[in-house]
Amino acid sequence: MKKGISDIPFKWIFILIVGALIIAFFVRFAYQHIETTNKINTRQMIYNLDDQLNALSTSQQSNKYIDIKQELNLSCGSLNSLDFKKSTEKIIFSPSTLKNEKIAAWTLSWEFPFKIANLYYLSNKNIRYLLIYDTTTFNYVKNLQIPQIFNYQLMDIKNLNQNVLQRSSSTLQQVNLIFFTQPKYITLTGPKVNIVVVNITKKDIKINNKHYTYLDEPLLYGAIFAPENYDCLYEKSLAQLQFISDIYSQKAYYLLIKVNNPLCKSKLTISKNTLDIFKTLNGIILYQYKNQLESQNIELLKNDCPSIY
Amino acid sequence: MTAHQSIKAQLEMTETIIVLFIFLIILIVSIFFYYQYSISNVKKIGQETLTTSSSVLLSSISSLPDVCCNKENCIDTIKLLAFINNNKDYPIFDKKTITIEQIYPQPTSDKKCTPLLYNDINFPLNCKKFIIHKTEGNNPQIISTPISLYYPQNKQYGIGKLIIEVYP
Repeated sequence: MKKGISDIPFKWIFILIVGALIIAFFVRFAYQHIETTNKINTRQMIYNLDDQLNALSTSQQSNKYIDIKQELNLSCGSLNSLDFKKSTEKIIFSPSTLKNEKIAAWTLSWEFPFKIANLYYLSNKNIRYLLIYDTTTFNYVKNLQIPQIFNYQLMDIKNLNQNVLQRSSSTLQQVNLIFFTQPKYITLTGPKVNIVVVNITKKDIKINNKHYTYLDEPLLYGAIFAPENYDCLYEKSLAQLQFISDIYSQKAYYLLIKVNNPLCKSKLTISKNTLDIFKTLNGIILYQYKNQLESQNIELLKNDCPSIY
Repeated sequence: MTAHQSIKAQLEMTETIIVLFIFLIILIVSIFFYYQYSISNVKKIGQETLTTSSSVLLSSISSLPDVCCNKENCIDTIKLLAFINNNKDYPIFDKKTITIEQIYPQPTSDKKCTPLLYNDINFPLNCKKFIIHKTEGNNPQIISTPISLYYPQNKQYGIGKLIIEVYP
């Protein structure tokens, strides 16, 4: 009779162990399923973003909102979310992190003097841009073409007040203060503050005490939207400028082979030489060669020669 | 415990194990089918993503600064030759063969356009296609669109076809 009684607890222990194993299996299965779904969603989000940016690039200038489901991290050469990283050749000026929400995207064709690349600017409503001017820079700042989808305002330096700024920006992720005048150094509790000082006569940008040249407005917008990554993105833009200049230099060479008119030959040779120097340069001197290339191209067109661009 | 009771207990235990065994078999079969379904679903999503990005590429390649005309919406054939010569590889070209075929004026040869053939007096009629990027593979999905081609050496325009072969 004692043996018969001891059979029942054994059966329950057996059921308990098997039941625990089955539950553990299902829990693990559920976690794996969630993980896989997240991975798929992340990849879809990144590919979708990349496609939308490619579609934007077909126009000279356009902007739109893009929905993202997860936090997006952007570095100089890649788009990342969770464990997925997609390398990109695009030059994207953006804060390092964009939280999961609607992001504002803008693209602009950068021509220096020919089309170098489409530059992209990403941001969201939690990042505020204050373009601070004085009487001498007001007209320049007023004419900057930043789309209304971004959270930016123009402000006279006389109206810049730390307390007012603190109250209006305390819930934000980041505030970028762009001084087109002598800067006032401001600290805020809460949002991260980036200070950029622009000298429009010298085409110079100062970020964290480091000076950079900006090559026309598209790169100035880059400094406004991504001061923390400007160093690397400027280098990437310059590399693209050098690559495209090399393509045009080769184009001049191929045209020289086919052109018989001596005047055209001479003008194309001059343009090719300018391009060969242009592709090796960096900094403010690029403006001088850009102007030369523009006038040389006009000369080619005037003389009915094949033009460089 | 009688012999009859012992046999009954053993039978109950065997019954439980058989039920558990059948349950496990059903579970394994269900998981197998679930994974099959999941894998095919992921493959389908991957294929759709690849097709979408190829369609976007198809419309955006003619605005790529490396090959586009400066103002008009066309492909500059000399820049195209220079670009092919430089052999630059973009991540967006991954798993794709990208070709531009000349349609009009109709070429007299099926050859691939190269800088060497450009030097020939008969260019652009002496070659048919510019290969921007080549990927080896089987059963590609092919999409194409007509494009405008510009020949700067004689300031003439032609018609071409941009073909993208997408490999799964």
